[in-house]
Amino acid sequence: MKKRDLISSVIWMALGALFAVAAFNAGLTLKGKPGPGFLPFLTGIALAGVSLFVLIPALLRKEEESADSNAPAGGTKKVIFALAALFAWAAALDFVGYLITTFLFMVFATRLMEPRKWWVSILIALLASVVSYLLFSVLLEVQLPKGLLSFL
Amino acid sequence: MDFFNTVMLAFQVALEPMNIFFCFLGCLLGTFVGVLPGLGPAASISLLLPITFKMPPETSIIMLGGLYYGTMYGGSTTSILLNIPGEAASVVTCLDGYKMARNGRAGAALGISAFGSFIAGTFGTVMIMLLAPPLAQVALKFGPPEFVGLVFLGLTMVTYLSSGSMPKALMMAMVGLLLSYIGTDIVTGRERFTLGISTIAGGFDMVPIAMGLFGISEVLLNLTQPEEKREVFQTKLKDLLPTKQDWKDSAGPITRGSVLGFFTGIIPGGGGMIASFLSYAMEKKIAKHPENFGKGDIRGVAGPESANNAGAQGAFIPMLTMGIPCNVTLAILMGALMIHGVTPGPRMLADFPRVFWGVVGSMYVGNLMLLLLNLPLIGLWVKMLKVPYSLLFPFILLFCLIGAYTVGNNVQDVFIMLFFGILGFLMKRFGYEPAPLVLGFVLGPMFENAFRQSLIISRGNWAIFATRPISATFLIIAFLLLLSPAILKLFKKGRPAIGD
Repeated sequence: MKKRDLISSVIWMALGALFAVAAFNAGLTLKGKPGPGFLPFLTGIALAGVSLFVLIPALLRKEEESADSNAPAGGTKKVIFALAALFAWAAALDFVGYLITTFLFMVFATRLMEPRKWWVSILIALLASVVSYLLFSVLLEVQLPKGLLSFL
Repeated sequence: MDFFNTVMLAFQVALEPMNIFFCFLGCLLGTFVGVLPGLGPAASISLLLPITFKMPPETSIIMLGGLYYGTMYGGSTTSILLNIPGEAASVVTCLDGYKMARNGRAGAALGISAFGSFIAGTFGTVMIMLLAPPLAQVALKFGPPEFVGLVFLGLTMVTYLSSGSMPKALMMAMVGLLLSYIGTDIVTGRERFTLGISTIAGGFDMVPIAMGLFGISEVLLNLTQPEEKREVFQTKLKDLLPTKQDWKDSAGPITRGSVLGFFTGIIPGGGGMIASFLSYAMEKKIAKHPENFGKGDIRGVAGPESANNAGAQGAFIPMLTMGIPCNVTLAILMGALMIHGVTPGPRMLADFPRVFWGVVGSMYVGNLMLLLLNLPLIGLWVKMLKVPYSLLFPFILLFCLIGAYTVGNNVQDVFIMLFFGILGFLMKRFGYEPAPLVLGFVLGPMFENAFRQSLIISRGNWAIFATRPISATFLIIAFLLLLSPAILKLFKKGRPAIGD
């Protein structure tokens, strides 16, 4: 954990310091009363301060377990693929429309962890996109973008 | 309103057909979520939050509340049959519950945990009815300095009782506070810390944050793990009704677990897992034959399973009467109430009696439904466990996507959710828990408001926090808790040598 504690505590410390600076600029006091930056300033300083309680022990600790591999090979790749699919869904939604985007997303996602027969993935994705569309758009009256299928 | 009238009102609201239906739906989903490992109550409540926007506030909280305590019922099922806790609160049930299943007593273990949960849940609800009104009366006398003390103590308790490292939990609470400051300053109306991004000019919404931190990040973490082969214990699920001997053995643990669980539930950060662990430890300590524990002793199931349910009900008290959520699930429930324009706190009882008493009344109904859902339908839940995660997670993701989209009918909230999903994933990897962050975020506006009002009242004199006895007491307890690790270290090692 040494390396992780070092990296993370420095990041949080920087965040706390950044907030403190921004809060200072926002105004600590306003006509003698605490202003919009007052508590954020204190919180930012406190965050940076408490980070020291993670940073210093990590610095003093000797490097121990390096083979801390709770991520088996291939795991990170799946995470990146999943994130790519999620971002693609959000980016394409307005233009392509809910039904097509969701169908493609589900085909991809159902095959991500385990190889599946294509027709199984396609069937699940088809059902998932149509049923969820009916549920949310028709029953719960959520406006889901129609996109390319807006002629329907 | 006298007691009789409030009870009438509670049942009148709870028994409205629509509320019964949504209570049932909440309990059903709660059991489902409880049974499934890898999907917790916090994530599922945030998933369902957007679809409750159009409901009346009481119906919405009745459903989401049912989901919350429903998970406490469902969580034990996987502990007993699979040795995998469905929820953190059911971890300790694995010890004796799974052994009981291996000894061919799965039915009795499931039965006693359902009955114990029912008894404890009902006890907890009665206690809410008795304790909430006087507590709200006390809290009504609180001014801004008292609330500053209370929120500070609440956040400290949560970080103190969190499972991981205390400085890290404290840091996350602060990050949550900082996030809550982003947006428009309530007092001056000025925009602050938004970096000119218009989406967050009004501040972050809780829903995308909670869904990102608990829904998306959980899925991402699970993707890095190879799928475990789930072997559901092959056992006859008949004999769910505990025998006379079982009842005799369990009566004590259920009673003690209910009381203990309820009172730990009231403490911020308590309840749930802590309640069940304490109950297990206590039963083992007072048992005549403690060596039976860990080998399939029914008392080791009955006590903790009652404690976590009583704790789940007890946790509602500080939220409903003071506006202090004890755990992250209640923080999200509190957010749900505020979306509906109901501010939880001492005035809720007087201003929104229908919501308050309706929710409490629905807990009787809900606990009864859960008993019925869990006993005869246990076979169905076991079948549910056979759905592989590789098929389940795409649906969790899809629900998150739709949920975030429906918050404001735009994709910006989806991107915010994904950002917090990545953040939550990295945080867990680096040993930080997301729960204190969400609590800090939810409590932030109230904390800041009370803080600034206090200093306005006192004309900038900080002594106001120390001279008002209640706020001073809260703050002293909080600082003692914060310093306690250092104090304990001092006592253990004597005087630590400088430069050692």
